[in-house]
Amino acid sequence: MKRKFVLGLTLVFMLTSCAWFQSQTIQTRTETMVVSFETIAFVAFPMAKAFIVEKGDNGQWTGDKLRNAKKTYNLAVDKFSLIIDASSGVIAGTASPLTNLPAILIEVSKLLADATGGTVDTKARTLTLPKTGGAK
Amino acid sequence: MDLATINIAINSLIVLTQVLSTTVQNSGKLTDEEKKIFLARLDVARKALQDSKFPVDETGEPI
Repeated sequence: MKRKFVLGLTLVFMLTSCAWFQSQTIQTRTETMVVSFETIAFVAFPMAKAFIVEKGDNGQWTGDKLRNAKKTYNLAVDKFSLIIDASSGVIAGTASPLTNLPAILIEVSKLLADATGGTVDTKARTLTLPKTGGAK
Repeated sequence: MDLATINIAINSLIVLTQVLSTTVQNSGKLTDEEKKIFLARLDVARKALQDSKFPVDETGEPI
């Protein structure tokens, strides 16, 4: 039930943002894109990191499992940094838009899901990630 | 707080980036000052992201 709600919410958000986005000026569109990058860099990634740190601190993840989670997180950071670089190049006018950007973003999603023990449904383009609090 | 936030953020970014790619390519209406500000913000986000990486040893393995 909760998964369906999250999926529905995501779809509504995507459709609404897409329709709204089409009607905006280039300044507003770029602002929206930059805010999206900032949201992921300042909220999503730190949340995933806090989740991994918490799992390590309370002893739920140890040894290779914890090491792999940290390694995968670092990989996701590097991948997402590449996307930021590419988008910066597009804004600066020094690079062409990457046609495979969505594919790379999905790859980042998968890495974050792997790092936090979540799952990815590529068909529906959704991630199911664990909760941060609660279970110890 | 639920990590589904990542899901929503990344999925929406996929949509936004697709639209933006064609828009930026076709318009080029950003002024130099606007470009400078957007690039500076992206740079800050990138640096914060890199700083958040787990420390690694000389072989690249997380400590």
